[in-house]
Amino acid sequence: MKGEPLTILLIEDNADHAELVLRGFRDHRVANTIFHVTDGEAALDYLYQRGDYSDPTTCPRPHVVLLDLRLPKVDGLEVLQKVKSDDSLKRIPVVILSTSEAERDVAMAYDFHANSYLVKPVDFVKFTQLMDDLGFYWLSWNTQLADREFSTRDIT
Amino acid sequence: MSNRERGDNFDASDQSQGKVVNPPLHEDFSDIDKMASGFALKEIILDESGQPIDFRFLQVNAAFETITGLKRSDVVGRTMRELMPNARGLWIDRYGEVALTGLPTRFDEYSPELARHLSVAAYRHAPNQVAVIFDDVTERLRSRERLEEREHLFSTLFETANDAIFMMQGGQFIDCNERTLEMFGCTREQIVGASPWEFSPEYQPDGRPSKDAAIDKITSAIKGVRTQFEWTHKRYDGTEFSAEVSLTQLHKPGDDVIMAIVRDVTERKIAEDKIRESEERFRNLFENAPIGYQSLDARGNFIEVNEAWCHTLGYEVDEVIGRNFSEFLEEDFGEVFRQRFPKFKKVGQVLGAEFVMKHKNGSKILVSFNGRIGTHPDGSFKQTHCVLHDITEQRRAEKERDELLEDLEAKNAELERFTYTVSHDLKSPLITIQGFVGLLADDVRANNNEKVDKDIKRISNAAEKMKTLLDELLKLSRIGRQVNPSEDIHLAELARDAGELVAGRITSAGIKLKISPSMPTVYGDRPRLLEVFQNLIDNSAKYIGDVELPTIEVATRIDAAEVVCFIEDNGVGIPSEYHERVFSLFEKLDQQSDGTGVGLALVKRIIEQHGGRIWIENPTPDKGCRFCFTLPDVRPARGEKEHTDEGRTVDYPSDRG
Repeated sequence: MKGEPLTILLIEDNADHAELVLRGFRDHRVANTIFHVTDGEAALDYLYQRGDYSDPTTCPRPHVVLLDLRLPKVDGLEVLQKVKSDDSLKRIPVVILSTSEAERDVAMAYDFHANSYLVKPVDFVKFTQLMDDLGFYWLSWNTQLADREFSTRDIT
Repeated sequence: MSNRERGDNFDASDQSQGKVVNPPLHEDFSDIDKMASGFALKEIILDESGQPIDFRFLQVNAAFETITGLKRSDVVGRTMRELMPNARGLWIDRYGEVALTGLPTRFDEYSPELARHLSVAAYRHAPNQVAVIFDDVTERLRSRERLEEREHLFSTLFETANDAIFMMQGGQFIDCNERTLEMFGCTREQIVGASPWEFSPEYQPDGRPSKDAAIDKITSAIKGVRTQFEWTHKRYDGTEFSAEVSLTQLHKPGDDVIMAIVRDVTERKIAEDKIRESEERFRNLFENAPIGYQSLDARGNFIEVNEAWCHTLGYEVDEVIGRNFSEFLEEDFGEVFRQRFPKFKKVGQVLGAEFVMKHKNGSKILVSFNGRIGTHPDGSFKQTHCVLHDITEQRRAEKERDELLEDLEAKNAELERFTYTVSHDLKSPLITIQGFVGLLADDVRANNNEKVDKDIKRISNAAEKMKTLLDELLKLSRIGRQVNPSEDIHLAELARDAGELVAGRITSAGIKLKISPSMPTVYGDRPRLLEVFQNLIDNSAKYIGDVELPTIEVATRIDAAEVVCFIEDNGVGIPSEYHERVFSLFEKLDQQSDGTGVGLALVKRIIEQHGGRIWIENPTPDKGCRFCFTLPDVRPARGEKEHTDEGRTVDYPSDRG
């Protein structure tokens, strides 16, 4: 454990699912900070720190992005493509968290350089386990790029 | 100079009486000038040993002068050697012998000095005197030579001819050439004495007995009529062959010897038959082929067309020949033809040239041409030979197939999208339900009642969502399967009914619904169109947002003779980049709204089912939204014409539906 708080950007349009994710992380004290946006447009605004998210102190760059694929306005894959084709953003690990198991979606996600593809389990126990493992993995095992841009602030 | 003497038979007795009579020289031959033959009396000159060495002309007649070209005065009294020192000794020897032996002689000799053939007779007139009588036979000899040459020629011809040549008399072969024997496969003995009908089958191809026909032909030949005819002959072994016979009467009329020339034309017959058959086959092919054929001259005028051509274009042959090809083309293609025809004539070939032609009944036919040109022996253009295929139906079928394929592909893609979305959208609430059931258990154990209520609420919402989704999917799947009987629909009335169905939302949001009273009456599927209006009004009411005096207007307008229905609101509007997406299944711009994302997809499906289009317009750049759609497959109300506010007559496109 590095003990450094993890900042996660959760992009999820389904409020119930977002709640499940948030509660999963909270119950396992995985992350200190989770930012939640509900559509692709907002996600890009957050990442580019513009509009409502222009203040880097309240809206820090996330260590990990959890991205749902089916999103209103700007689609999840589009968000992924933008992030991965932008030099200033592409180092941020993007984990797809989707309902879809469709081969096409998985392939496309990897084509656009997704760092991981996770399917939301229907089973509650598995869902909880996934959130636990996910948090632990990114918090404990994954090596962060420790530069100034990645410094985080606990705003919860 | 030479002279020829001849002795006639009677001279022999003369000679025997020579010594007895011994007449005076000149008086004896007083009338020799009357004689046509040449005459000369010569005195033989002997040497010491008694051998003749020369002779002297004692007397010559007028004919002598004519034949030899020598003058009597120059000759008489002179000797042969004096006159012609270089002459051959032959004459002196011959005449000397007559003088010595007293035996008359007779010979033909060529005189190189005179370049004449002479026929000579000589006798001893008196001791040492020889009388010579001679004739110029040069011409006679020459004509005999010519005659012999001809005879040789004819006999060669006769024997070597490739035709059988034979003589007949009294209806029988009397002579024939070698070829005859070959042709009839017999010996001379077998044919000479036989009759021509014995070398013929019993009947000729025309059914006449060979004997009757042969006698007829021979009879007319004997009358001097040169006859030529075709004849079937029979060889000695019984096999038959076709012949061409010519009969000629050989001598003067009435003579019954005739010459027959028979030519075996079996080969030629076979070749002719082949050509005729082949011609017939091609003629048949041309006439009966199911493919249209045409031939044009250099100006593009019709020379020939076949049955299939006429059938394809509905014309009679007589209506086509002589007319120009362009007269049968659709206007635009006349020019195309005028441009391409010279090139075709030059290149000599055309492949798959397509033209739209006019059927006699006015319909258009798409045809494809393949062809070549025919040329004169000098290689210049003569006429075209083209076949045409009516590809109208083929094209139509191809187009239909392409459309069906496209349709099928679209349907497949849609189905794929549908399955994908449905599985996603049904799975999503399932995750919610399962997830919160799990949390619920935790919360119950922790006695957290506030959370328990929230969990239950989420679970029930998710279940409700699944139910709604399933209902709407069912509705969607019914479109196209369920067709209601068409009826007259007053669109204004329909819009009012739709408004009633969504009155709750409209009233609670304080929206003013304006329905134009001047909308047309149409003929169509009322329940479906009601769904369209209901969904669109509901959609507008749902997303109109927080505006002053929210208003929804339902009306129609005419765009390029097309009736466009529209539902317009003055709400927050939809950014134009989302104008297409909103019609996709399960697409929602606002995730927080309670819609399933099926409503607009459903509307689009119904409109397209009616052959129409649906789109969104922005009435103003910053606010408002206008859903427009057309219904071309919906017929105008029967026998009615609607009037718009401005009093204009609205004409509906009537060529559809």
